[in-house]
Amino acid sequence: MISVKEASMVYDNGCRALNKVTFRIEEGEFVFLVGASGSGKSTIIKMLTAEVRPVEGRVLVNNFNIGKIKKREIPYLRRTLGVVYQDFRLIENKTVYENVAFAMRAIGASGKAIKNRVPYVLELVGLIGKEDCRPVELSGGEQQRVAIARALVNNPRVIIADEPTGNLDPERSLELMVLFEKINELGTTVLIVTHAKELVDQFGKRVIMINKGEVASDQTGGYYTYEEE
Amino acid sequence: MKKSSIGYFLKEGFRNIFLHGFMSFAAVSVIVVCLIITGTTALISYDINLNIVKLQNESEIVVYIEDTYTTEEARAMEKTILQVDNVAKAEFEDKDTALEAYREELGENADLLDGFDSSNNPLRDAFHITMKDPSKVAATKAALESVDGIGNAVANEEVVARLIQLQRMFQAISVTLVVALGLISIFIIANTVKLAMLARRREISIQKMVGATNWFIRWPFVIEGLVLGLLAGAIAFGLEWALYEQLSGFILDNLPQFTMAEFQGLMFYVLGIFAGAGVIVGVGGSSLTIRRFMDV
Repeated sequence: MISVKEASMVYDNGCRALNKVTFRIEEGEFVFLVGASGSGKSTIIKMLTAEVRPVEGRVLVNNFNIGKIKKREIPYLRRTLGVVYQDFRLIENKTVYENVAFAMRAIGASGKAIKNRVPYVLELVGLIGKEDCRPVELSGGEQQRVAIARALVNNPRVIIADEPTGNLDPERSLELMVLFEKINELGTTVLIVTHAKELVDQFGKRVIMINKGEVASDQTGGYYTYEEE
Repeated sequence: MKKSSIGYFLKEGFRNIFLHGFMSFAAVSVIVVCLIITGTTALISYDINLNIVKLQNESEIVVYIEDTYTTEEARAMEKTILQVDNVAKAEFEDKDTALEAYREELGENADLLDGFDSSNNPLRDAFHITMKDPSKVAATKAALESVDGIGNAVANEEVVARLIQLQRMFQAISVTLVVALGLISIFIIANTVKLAMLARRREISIQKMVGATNWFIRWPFVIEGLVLGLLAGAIAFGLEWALYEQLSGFILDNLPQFTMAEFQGLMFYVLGIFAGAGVIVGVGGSSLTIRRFMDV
């Protein structure tokens, strides 16, 4: 569960990125976070992953209070989240299997647990048969599926995807969104930051629109009606 | 630390070493050189100390009683002499015994002393003084000379003083080298680990993103520093052994009266100190770098 209440964020250079933002995402929801470049979407993601802290207000993510979280608790917060980025952030010299297993290894999972879990997740994202490929041998869509598999492998409660379709063509983008929908149907909360207006409209999910660091609209089953200035 | 992770940490630590083979080689080489220089200086200082102690233990002060005193009066001075600070023992040698001893010492040339007997003995009654603390020879000698009835006192203080001076110099060089070369070694290790961390920045950021703890990320780099430090310690130990054998052979050939410790008698200390120094330098150097890289 994510609860953001009256949260503001000011960077060290004095730039106010968020101003009294309030929204709440329940377990199992599928939400699009939309807005123009520089509107504050990425700051919200950084706040949810505890890369930055709110200067005021209250941010709760899976029972962790981001404003008061201790440094040593941050890894445990992040284990409840799976984050997917636009640039995939895969390790080039590792295979698909190793990239996904790496995330499990990083939290101290046993070899047996890795052997059991990784094939299941690769099957879920449709990458069976590509286990031994390196990222460079895959298409953009496939690379993003590896990133999603990596985000999913530790069984997080929430998947946060920051512009996941930014580097993909429309067809691959649609496939990816269908995959996120499938993941959501399996019980994982999904929060997707995107610019892809057509995709957002097509899926008809809840849309939170950010404009100039504030929540401009929050409509369940809404549409991406925001026009960039 | 989870058992299942230990194998991973070791594998990654060794992988880092080979990933930047040249830097690892450079780091080990620099630490080896540093350890050998400081080790050799420390061992020589130790040997000088052995010789100082030996000389001090062998050294005594001989005080000669003024010839206006009869032998009985001279012998009676023992109590006064024993009251002088730092005097442990005072052994009386009357002038007749000294004359006989001298005659024996001269051997074939004893005829030089023909014509001398107790009636015209040119020698004086004396006390052989053993000190409680031989390093205070100068002060003790001065104190004895101020006692009424003592003509003069003789000690081999100059040799001891020079050795002490030499030892102090070696100790100062040792300390300076340990500090300077230790810092250089830490710097080199820090840079080697820094290269490994730079090469793996992306992996570190992904590890942090998926919830790895800082210690999980640190361990392979700590192990890298530890292995490099231990390896350097072991190599330096072997080389130090060979070097010391050569050095002691050379010194004993040229200065047979100089005492040098056997390396075998010191090997476990040297090994322990080299391994310990290697670990401190290795882990210290890697920790310095890791700390700066952890806020990914």
